[in-house]
Amino acid sequence: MNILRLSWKNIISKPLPSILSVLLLAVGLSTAIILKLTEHQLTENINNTGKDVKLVIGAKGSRLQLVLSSVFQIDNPTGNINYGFYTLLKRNRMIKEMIPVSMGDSYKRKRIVGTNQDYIRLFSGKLKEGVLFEKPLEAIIGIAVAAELGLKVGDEFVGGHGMEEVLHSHDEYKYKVVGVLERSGSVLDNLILTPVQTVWIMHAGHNDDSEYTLGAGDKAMHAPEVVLEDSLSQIAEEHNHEHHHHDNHVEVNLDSVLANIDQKDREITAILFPNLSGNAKIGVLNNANNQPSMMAVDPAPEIMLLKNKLTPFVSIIVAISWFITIIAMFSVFIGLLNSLRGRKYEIALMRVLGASKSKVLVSILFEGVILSVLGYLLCLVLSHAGMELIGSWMQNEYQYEFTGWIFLNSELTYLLVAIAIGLVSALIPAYKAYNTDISETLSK
Amino acid sequence: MVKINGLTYNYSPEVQLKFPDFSLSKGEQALILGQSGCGKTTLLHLLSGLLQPNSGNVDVENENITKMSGARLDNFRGANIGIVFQTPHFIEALTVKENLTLTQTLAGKTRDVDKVKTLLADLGVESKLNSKLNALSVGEKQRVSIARALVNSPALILADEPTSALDDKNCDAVLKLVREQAKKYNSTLLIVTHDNRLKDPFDKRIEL
Repeated sequence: MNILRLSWKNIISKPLPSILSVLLLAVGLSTAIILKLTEHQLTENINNTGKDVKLVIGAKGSRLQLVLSSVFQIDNPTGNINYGFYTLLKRNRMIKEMIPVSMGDSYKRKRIVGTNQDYIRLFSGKLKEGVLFEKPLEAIIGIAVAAELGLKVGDEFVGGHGMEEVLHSHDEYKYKVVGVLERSGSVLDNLILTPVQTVWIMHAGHNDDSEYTLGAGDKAMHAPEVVLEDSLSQIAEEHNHEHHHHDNHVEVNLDSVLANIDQKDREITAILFPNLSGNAKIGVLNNANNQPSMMAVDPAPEIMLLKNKLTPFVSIIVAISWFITIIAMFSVFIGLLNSLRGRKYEIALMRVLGASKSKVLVSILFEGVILSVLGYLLCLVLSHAGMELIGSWMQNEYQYEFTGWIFLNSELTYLLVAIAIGLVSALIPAYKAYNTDISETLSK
Repeated sequence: MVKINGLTYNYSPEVQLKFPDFSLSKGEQALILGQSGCGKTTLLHLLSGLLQPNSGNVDVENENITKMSGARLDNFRGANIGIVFQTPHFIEALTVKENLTLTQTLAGKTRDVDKVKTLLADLGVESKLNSKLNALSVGEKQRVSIARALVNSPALILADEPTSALDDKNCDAVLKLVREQAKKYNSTLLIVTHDNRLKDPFDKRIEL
């Protein structure tokens, strides 16, 4: 029976106050750790996803929205731009790389992005299985998409229009999974990628009468419908008719379908520019901003703006976590003080049995430290399980797989914080025990 | 083996206690008699180094404990002096066995469960080895506290009114046990009491 075990036995002999202290400490610390885990993963995501995009061109609208939608796949697109502008810029020799992205469709809440192979290279994506897409209707899926939807190479699926809810499905053509990407910690993990041409084929005939118009929201691909605000039934009827029309041409080969798509219907959502700087960047900026319906945005300042907007919220959560932790500290303090009041005679007894003053002091400090280490251990469980839980609903919101199963070095710092809390709150009770007048206590 | 001389203790400038000199040899058993308030417990605390006298010396095992202090005194007391209190107190969070092994380790001795078992058997409470203290009767508790006083085979056993909380039957049994066990381990035994039931012959009787 050593001192450490004695402290432990004293703690478990009074389970309720001990549990309260441990629980409070665990909740306080896990709030802080969940915040750290979220911050870490968000930063990682922002860095992995955003660092290589130097400029974005998209439809006029909110600058932040354009960056969020086309780079991070979070928000809805601002609208569409004509692919013609992309081919025009392609002739510019100063621009080494440009990647088209076309959004608006999804499959089981996973976004389908029409793009080219450069998009995968941009985020350093590597194939886990299969090959890169070559032809329209071929799809490459992120690791999270494969895991969650159970898709693998060779599987086929029907996409739908809309990002959150599928407004109608494009059931005339099926996507075919040709490759699965390795985990990249970027936006790729959660996306379905396909050549831009796929998107045109999927939407061919859906808006053939419309002029090029700016759309908004997740109906970007069908901007005219939004603008016209047709009644839903009317739209449905129209689509049924079209589907019927397509059903008769299912066997038509894709090249001829593609060839029949009018230039003005070849739209994309945005163009991403990696490795663009200096005069080339200024040139593209000016060129795009001179177009009546387009804008060019540098993502870096927009991201900075967003981060700044989040700072007050982060500070509030940090303050709350400290508040709970301080309450936990008081709980340990009061718990120990209470327990010692009933154990005054026991302390005197320990001294009679040969324990020195400092041994008594250490035994009480141990009690504080044991409580705080227990609180820390529980907090690790709470915070990582909590993060996993929060991550599962944040995933669809942020197109990024948040996980509770990563461990940060800074979590070890919290062990030190916990031990310090235990020591500080046990200090006064321990000092009182240290100074117990044995003779007087025993005479009572 | 135990020797006091010129021992005084001042509660306050007005209340001064003066104790008669006496000495006990190894294995001797003595009774200190006196009415409440005459300083019996104070004497016990002085003998065990829990109180420092204002003057005089206390020698235990040829060591003057009034000259010791701090951890050295605590250690000496733990290893050489066993105390039986009027009302038995224990570490409530621990079992009987754990209380006794803690007594061994706090005195700097090695944990010896066999010795604990033997002692409890001698005192007739071996079945309580793994019980919590609050499950024991007062008589049983007092037996365990005798076991605790003996577990380190101390040179000196001090018993402070060990029988006053017990009924007649337990009083006789506990007294008999503590005397037997002290003899067995050749410990010097000093019982402080005002209990008139202790009529047995003792080697020495000291009146305060």
